[in-house]
Amino acid sequence: MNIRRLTALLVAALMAGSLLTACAGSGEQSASAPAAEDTGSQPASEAAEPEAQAEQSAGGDAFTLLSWYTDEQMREYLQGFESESGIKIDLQFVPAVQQYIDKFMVLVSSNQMTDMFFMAAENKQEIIERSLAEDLSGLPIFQRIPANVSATYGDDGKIFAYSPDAWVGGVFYNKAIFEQAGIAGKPATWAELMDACQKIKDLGLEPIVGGSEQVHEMPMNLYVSQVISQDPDNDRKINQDETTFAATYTDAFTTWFNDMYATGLQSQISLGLNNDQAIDMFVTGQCAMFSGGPWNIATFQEKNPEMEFDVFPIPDKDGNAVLSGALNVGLSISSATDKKAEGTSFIEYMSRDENILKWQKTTGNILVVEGLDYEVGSVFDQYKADAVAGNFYLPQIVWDNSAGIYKELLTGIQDVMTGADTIDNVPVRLDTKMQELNG
Amino acid sequence: MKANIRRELPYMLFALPALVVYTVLTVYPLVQTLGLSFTNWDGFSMEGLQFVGLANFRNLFGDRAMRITLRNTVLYSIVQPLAVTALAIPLSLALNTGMRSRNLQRAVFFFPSVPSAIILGYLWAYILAPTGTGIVNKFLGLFGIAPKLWLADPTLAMLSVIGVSVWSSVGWHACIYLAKLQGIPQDYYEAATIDGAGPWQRFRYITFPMLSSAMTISVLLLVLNALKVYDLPFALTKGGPGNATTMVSQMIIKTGFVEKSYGKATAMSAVFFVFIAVVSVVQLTLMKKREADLDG
Repeated sequence: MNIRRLTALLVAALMAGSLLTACAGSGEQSASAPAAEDTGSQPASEAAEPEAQAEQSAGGDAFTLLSWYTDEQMREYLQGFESESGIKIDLQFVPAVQQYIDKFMVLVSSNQMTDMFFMAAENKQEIIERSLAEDLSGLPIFQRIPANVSATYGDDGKIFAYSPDAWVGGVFYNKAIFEQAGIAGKPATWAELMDACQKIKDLGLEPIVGGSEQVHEMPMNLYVSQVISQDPDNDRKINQDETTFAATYTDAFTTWFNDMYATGLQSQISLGLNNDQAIDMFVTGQCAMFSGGPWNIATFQEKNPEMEFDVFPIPDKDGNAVLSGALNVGLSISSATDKKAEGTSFIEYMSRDENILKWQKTTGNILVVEGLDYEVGSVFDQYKADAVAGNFYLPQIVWDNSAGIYKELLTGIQDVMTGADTIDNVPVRLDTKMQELNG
Repeated sequence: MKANIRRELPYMLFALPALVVYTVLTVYPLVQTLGLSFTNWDGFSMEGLQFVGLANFRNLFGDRAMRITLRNTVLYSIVQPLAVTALAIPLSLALNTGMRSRNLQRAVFFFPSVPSAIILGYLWAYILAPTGTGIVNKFLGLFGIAPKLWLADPTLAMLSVIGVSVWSSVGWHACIYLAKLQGIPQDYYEAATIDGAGPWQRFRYITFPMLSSAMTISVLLLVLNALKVYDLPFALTKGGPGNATTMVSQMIIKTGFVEKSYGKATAMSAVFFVFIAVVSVVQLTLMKKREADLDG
């Protein structure tokens, strides 16, 4: 083989190899780039600066926080904490969700974990299994948070993250369209919801739409109201092999398919929409309902300030209804840090009543801490008591290897909507995926 | 031999920085990934790393989703390069004429290859939308054609991905052919015309053979990029509906970073690397042979 040919073959092989390289390197690249851009300390107050520097020099490096929230969102708390304690926190912001998770993994695998970080549903399994966070259960604030709620980030009586707030979601509906269709208030049972959908369909409108990545929400929320309202531990039982997706999800999924999808009350159009396009349909009155959460409200009001809307949870046939929702990401102290006292001080600072109330304004979520008087400032105000009582649920928070299961669920429902699979087979696929991921 | 080395040394030194960067950023991760595919790497730590032999390779392409993504990738890698080549050659011929507006036309056709595929994907998601913002459906509506679910129907979604990709690549590949066309001596055409050759015969027996080396490069780039494609389908359809437009690259990334099955993902990467390498080498060999045949 001559050199020219050999060179050509080598070049071709190396070009093909760039794919493999991309796989090996993409996680680090995607995570580190924004972190580098956004890394930076908050400006210290003049009075506290000498003290902070003294503190840092005594303790070595700066106290660091890998943050799910931006500099701007965290500034008030970091400055307040620094001026009071003299401890300056170096914030490293990485956008949620996948970039944050990738960055977190890179830091852990390279033994460069920050002193504190935010625990999320997407990384809690690894954190707990690998003991990457300190147990915070001794902090007084946890006496004011329902045990079943703080258990989201806990295991075996220990609590590894502090979060004072939770988001709850449901189905937003356009009041004017409901009135026009002759629908009296919020549907209280599954049959009433189907009746409402039919009346809206008769008006020539889409009853409900969502983005292509939301199409699983209706069957999953029906499962939550139908099964979790009766057995809150069902998903934990699936994790422990005491039951299966096929045994407990099939009924709700089949009900959704037969009553809503096969009848055309929910159409295939959602598969061709992104989230923004689905919101546009909702705010312009092309559809009557949209499944979402508090993060959607500002967009609704910006795009159509005149629209009157409310929200309700998906009810099952007997009227059982559980709000979809989850505890917000929580602050954790790295088990590898030698600055545990500083971390504890920051969490104690963040868990003061006045700072919890400020935090609620930052996130717009509902507080899960008892004994606080505040206004949510949105249609979710009516669900404050449910949040404090822990009456909200999201299966993917509970599933082991939830990201993989969640993706399989979404793909499965999309397959069903295009006729590429049957609804009965979706829970079977979830069982298969869980077995595969559990090794 | 020594004289050769002395003569080549300055050139080799010029290439050295690029070689070092390429080795650090490409070759090293490539070799490391191949090595990790035979271990139980968990994505977190190298501590406790154990050799597991071929365990990660077992039943790699056994599941339904992987078979679908393989089928998608092969289909895309055949149709997209064919369509681009079939359109780029006539386009390059058109752009090679003496039209006054040829420079403007070259710029217009080249422009779609400038923005990143991610931006194009998001842009076309609006153009193909089933809602009021979907320009394509609005246009079809002018002729009384009912709106199509371009991104919601599996077949139409794949057609949309291929269509957008072809649209964005044709101008760039036409430039490759155009550069070659401009190097073909006019004498050949004049001699052929004197001999009575018509436009088709001039294209068939002069232009097309003379484009063979450009076609080798163009098709090689198209097939390699098609096999590795990730960004455009992800931005346009997120691989959906279901797995209808999911490509192998996306499946590898999903397996690694979403399902956190790093061993399996590295094994998939290794196998896919070999597959791409084999396809590239076979393709290059065949096209080089074709070049030689046409030259002869």
